[in-house]
Formats: sequence, structure tokens, C-alpha cells
Amino acid sequence: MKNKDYPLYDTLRQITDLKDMVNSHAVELADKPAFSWNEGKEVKTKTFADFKNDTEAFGTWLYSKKYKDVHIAVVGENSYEWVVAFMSAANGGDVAVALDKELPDDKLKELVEQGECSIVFASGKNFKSLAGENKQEENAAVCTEVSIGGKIVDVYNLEDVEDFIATGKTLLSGGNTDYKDYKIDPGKMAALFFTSGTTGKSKGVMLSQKNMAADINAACKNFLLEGETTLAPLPFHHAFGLITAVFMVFNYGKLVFINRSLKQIQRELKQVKPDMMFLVPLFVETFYKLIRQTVRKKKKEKVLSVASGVSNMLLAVGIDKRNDIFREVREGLGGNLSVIISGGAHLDEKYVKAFRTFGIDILCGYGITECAPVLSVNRNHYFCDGSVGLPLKGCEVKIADDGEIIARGDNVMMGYYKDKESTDAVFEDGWFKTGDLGRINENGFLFITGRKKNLVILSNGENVSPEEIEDRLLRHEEIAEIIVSGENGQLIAEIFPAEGHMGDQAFFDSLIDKENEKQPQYKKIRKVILRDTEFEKNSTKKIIRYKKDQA
Amino acid sequence: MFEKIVNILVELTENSVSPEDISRDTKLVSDLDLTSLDVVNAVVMFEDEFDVQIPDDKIADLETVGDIEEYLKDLIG
Repeated sequence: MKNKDYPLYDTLRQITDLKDMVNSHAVELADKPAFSWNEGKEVKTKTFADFKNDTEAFGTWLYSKKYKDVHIAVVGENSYEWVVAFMSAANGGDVAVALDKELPDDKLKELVEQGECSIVFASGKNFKSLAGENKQEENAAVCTEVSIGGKIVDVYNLEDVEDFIATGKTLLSGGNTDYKDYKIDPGKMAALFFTSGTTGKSKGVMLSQKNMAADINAACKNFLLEGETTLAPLPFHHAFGLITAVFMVFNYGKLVFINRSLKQIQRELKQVKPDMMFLVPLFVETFYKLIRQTVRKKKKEKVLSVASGVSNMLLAVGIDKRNDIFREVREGLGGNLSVIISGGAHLDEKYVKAFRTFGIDILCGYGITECAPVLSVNRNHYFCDGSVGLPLKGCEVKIADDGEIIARGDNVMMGYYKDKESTDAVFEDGWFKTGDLGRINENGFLFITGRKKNLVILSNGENVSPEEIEDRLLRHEEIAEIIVSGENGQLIAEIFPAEGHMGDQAFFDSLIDKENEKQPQYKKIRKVILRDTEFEKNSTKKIIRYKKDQA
Repeated sequence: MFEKIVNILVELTENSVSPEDISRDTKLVSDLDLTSLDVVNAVVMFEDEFDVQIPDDKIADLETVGDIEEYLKDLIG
């Protein structure tokens, strides 16, 4: 793989909105498969034309029930019906509200209320929790009226979407074209995604058709989707899992194989043989573990290590034998997987390097729901390890004086739903403040260096990003976990040592002393505290920083 | 059964935990340091090993090794 700058991809027509994308693809790619999934032992497939017909029919049914100009929530496991419900709502002037299926019942209801949803399409346990145990299955395709926050909300089972599509098709053939004729207003709110809100109330990110189309158009210029098939395991209620991993792939005219249950992912990798996947680091790390397990089971660890060395040596002189050497390793992931786009969180470079050895390129990117969501991504043939790639064209990304990454462009959200205070706090002079700290190198690659809220302001006024120092120090294998923070205007490090180094204060003092020698005065660590217990972590295994002193 | 469950979990932790460190009270996520995807993989391995089907909705309820053993016993009957 060459690694040098090259022109942006310019093969796709620019879409004006999602309806434009769906309609034009239904003509140009009519009979080509757009979505597939496993249903029992059967593989179901919908073409690009089917998808347009289904969303139109579903939307026509929505209109016939007077669900027009309303907020429609969708919640449940990934499914074709999920995508149809979301797309139909967004393309008919309604607002599609994406909710997390893992939310506890009370939080789910809270967001239905906060998002001012009049209708909810839910599946599985979410349907049961919203509609009540006794209301399901008895009488298919009926609405259950539920009072949430003093307002009546119509709850439907997502599994009944097929019935509503059938009704819609009958209405359409009878000449009901109200939905079909709806003209998209690109600047109107079309979708609402909620931020995770681990530290406070979730915020509803308002995205317009223009926001989503702009991000899809721009991302398609930076990155080329090679091959024909992707497998989609990321949850659809995430902007990355839906707008990028589903809608952008659709825009490329490629197949999205919907992974409906994570339990099936290993089987589906082998069945679907995806050419590429959009993943968050957790998946990449798990895939890596799976590869190691397979290798260990076959007692081929040594062989793999030697083969990696040989392959990398050949690659260095321009001979790429990775497909042959690592065929068996790659077969565990289907055999055709050649590119993974990783986003959503920081992925350790070691995975990028290991997968590259196997012949799978991991292209790290950066995004935020508020920017619909992609802001930058490494390009297929122009990348920089450790960076999150090149900012998308048409979306301005720069580093503010205080080091914060700020963005401006058509992909930037309209604001937080009914939360002017939070909206005002993140916009300044037309720029959206991401809350992340970064730098851009001489070739234009963006690097994330930390979160602004974690910044340590020292007594001399210098601002230090603790994550940057932590990342550097974590390269010492004697350090299992570390948190750097400020105390009395100076930097201190709290370390949970790796096994064999517990309580060895002298060792860590000397290690930090050596590290300090390479650093400017203000980045020197003045005190080292050793822990005998791990740091407390949240559900995504991140250390809860503010609790570091309480353990 | 307990032993088989433990062996599967030890494999998932890449042998970073030894079987004698695992009891019925051992928690999958906080004690064994498994991620949510590791737990899903564990469930797939239990399904293969014991020839059962564990619904997706049930996975989140399996917090401890004891929970798994109890649930599998119920399934097998």
C-alpha cells in the first residue's frame, strides 16, 4: 500500500438529502442488493429499489395515521425494519429519534419524553417494557397507547413494520401520494440522536437532512469503499453506526449485511465474508483476541511470530505476500476483510500495526454526533499512524488557541434540542467546540491529545493535557494504569503498577525521573503515588477520572 | 458443568486468570475484566458446549459465574 497524498475521490454524485440518495439509487442500482440479514436459516435481501418502495409505503402508512410533523422514536436491535422506520420518518418531514436499546426502562421513557416523541417503534424487550407484557403478539400490528410524562404515546412493535408497509403499498396503488410528494426542507430537523450523558442529562443532537448529506458527501471523498460487502454490527442508534456505517455505505451503492445479534458475528463474518467494516475499538480488540485464540489453539504462535517478521521484511522492500502468509488468520474474519474504519474512541496503534501485518488496514477516524458525525479519517492510501486522519473537505477543522478542536461546516448540528444553554456553550463565532484537544501536523493529519475538561492548569498558567502524558508513560510495561492530574499547581501521577512491581516506589520514582529529563519544566511530574488497587472504571472500561482519589 | 464454564472463561481471559481463582461469586466484567463482547463470545461458547440457545435479552442478566451455572442448569433441565 502506497502512502502518499493523492486527489480526493470524486466518483459519486453529491446528494442533497437522504431522500435524494434513496430515490436516485433506486433508479441507478434498482436490482442490486442494498440490505441483507439472516432470519432463521434464511438470508433475506432487499434491493435498492425495494428500499425506496418500502420507505415510501411505510411513510404513506405513517401519513395515513396522521403521523405527520411529529417525532418518531425507533429503538431495538439492529434490523432492516429499524432502518426503514428511521429513514421513512426522516424523509417525510417527521423527526426520527434514535434511542439506545440498552437503556434502562425509566431512562428510555425519559428520553421519549425529552425528545417529545408521539410514536415509538420498538422491538424485543424494549417493546415489552414500553407496551407492557400482556400487549404483545396477541393482535399483531396494533398500537398500544401508553402514558409517558403525562402525554399519550403510540407504541408499535417494530416487527410489525412489514404489515404497515403492505398497508402503505395498497394506499399508494390507490393513488395516495402525499408522502411520496413531500418536498424535503434541507434545513429542518430530521433526526435526533442522544449523547450518552454519562456525567449528566443526555442531550438531543438535532441533525438536519443537510447535516447528514454533507457528512456523507464529504466522507465519500476522503475514503473509498472498496469491495461490495460490509457487515454492520454497530448499534444503529449511534450516528457512526447509522449515518456512516449504513447510509454512507448505501450511498456507495454497496451491500450492508445487518448483524442482528452480536452472538452471530463470528458465524456471519465467515458467511458474509465482508470486504470492509466500520467498527469501534472494542470490536477491533475482540477480533484481535479471536485471532490470538485461534492461533493458540492451533499451537502456531511461533509460526505466526516468524511469519510476521518475514512478511514485514518483504513488505519493506515492496513485496506484499500478506494474503498468502496470513490466509488462515484472515479466514477467521471471513477471508476478504481488507479495510476496517475505526472510530468512536481511541484505538491503540499496536492493533493498527498488527492488523496491517495480516493484510488488514485499519483506518482510524474521528467524529462526534454533533458533526453528523465524521470530521476526519485516514485515507485508503494516505495515512499517518497515531492520527485520526485528514479533516473532510467541506468541513473546516482547526485548533483553537487553547488547543481545542473546533469545526465549522454544513455537517455541524443545528443545536441541542430545547437546550439553548448547552447549545450556546458549544458554539463560538460560528464554530462548534468539540471539547477534544488536538493538533494538526505539517501534512494536515489530525491528532487527538485529550479532553478539554481533563486539562490541568498549572500554577504557571501552562495547560497540560494529562492523556498525552499518560499515553506516553503507559508504554512502560511496568505501569498497568496511570492518571496524571494537578495538585497545588503541579503535576502528579497516580500509578497502578503491573504485576511484579507492586509497591516499588523507588523503581517508579526513578522511571519518572528519567522521563522528566526529556520534558519541558512544566510537563515534569513532581510526585508519584502508587496504588494497590485498580482505578474504578465505567461500563466502557474507561477510568473514572474524578474518582481517582476516592479509592 | 462448573468446571466446563470455568475453562471457557479462562480461555477468554487468555489465561490471565487461573481456574482456582474463579468461584460462583466471580463477576464476569468487574472481576475477570471481560468486555461486553467477551461476554457475548462466552455465551456463544456456552451454547456450543452445552447445546442450548441463550436469548440475547438474557445476556445482560448473567453477571456472575453462578448466574451462568444456574441459568444453564435451568435450560438443560
